[in-house]
Amino acid sequence: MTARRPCPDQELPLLDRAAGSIDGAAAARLEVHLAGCEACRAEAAALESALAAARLPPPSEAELRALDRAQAATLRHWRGAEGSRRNRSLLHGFSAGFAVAAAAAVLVIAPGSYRRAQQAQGSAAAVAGGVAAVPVGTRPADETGRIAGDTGSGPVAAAAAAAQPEVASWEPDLDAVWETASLAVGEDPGDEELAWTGAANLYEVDYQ
Amino acid sequence: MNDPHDRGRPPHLAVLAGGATGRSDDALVAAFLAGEEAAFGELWRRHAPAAHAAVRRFARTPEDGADLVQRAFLRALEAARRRARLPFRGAFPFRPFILRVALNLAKNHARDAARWRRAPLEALDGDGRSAPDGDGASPAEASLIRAERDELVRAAIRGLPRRQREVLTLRVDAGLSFADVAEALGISEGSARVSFHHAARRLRAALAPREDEP
Repeated sequence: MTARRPCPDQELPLLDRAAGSIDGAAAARLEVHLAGCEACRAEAAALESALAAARLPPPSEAELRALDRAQAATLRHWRGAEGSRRNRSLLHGFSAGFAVAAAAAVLVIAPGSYRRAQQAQGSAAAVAGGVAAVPVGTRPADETGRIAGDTGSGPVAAAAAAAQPEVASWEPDLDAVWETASLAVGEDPGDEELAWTGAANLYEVDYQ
Repeated sequence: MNDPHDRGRPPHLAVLAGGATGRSDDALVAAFLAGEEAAFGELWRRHAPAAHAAVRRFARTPEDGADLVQRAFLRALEAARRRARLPFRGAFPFRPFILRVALNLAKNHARDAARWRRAPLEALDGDGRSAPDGDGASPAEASLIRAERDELVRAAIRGLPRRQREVLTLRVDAGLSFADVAEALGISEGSARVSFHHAARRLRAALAPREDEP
């Protein structure tokens, strides 16, 4: 069988025809061509059958039933989530306030502590023993200590600080502060694939 | 609009507003967020079939497919709810949005290669598929031919680049116009057409290789 290739200038009209999106005049021209060109007729049939094969069969009874159940379930989950959304927004308001207060505390306390720590470092280097390198009074409050850094919490860290006096133990880790605050506020990095809608701040709500 | 006192809005107001069927998606979403459940039914009736068509190919079971539609709806409603709180919002593009979300969810669902391999369309097909190419053959032969061809198609569609697969799914399975396909995918109509052309060419080459082709 020596099948000729379809005519190159008919390729786009043939594809449009297969897509079902060919307009009237072009369709009429193509039909005239098809009537006289066997290769293009074969190509049109091949495209048609390929796309027909790609088409899914209509939904089965089981699928339609599942979809019906999903409609009721969607409404139920939405209603259920409404209650937890209200609670959550209260919680968010509270924890956001707390995070802001904590961040402010870090910014106020940390620089002072840092200066005092630097002053203390001279004597700490001189001591160079198992004694804590940082005087008791320079420790920040407990809740900011976690953010401000976890060195200086024992003899080992103290020794390390003594060995490397240029390490600033009280420098707040801004990334950690930001992360903590963001977590508390409920910010989400965002779904970049959905950013085009302008509603970039979507995160999956736990509908359970 | 999210006023909790609005929740008890009597149904006759909806009737005065033209009923659920005559309203835009945006109006329906707003009504639903204000507590009108009939508006949800109408939104579902309008968009669930297309969203379902967009995810079916990636679903393993009927429940999988329905679950993906449900999640797409919840995400779209959540996005609309957030949008509704913005002061200068435009209309929320509910249909393009939900189709886009459905495609993304389906893609994630199918990401697991094992799922892909096992994805049996037979589980979805039921008994409804006709066999146009099995005229002269015995029923057993016909179903073999059909299964073989289905596997070829499935493999070819799996092998398509993502954009082409999405365009094909929305156009062929969901029956959207190219304008709607383009809107759902955030691309131009011309680009949607071109993607479809590429996809059709590849499917055609996979299913019926021409003898003169390498």
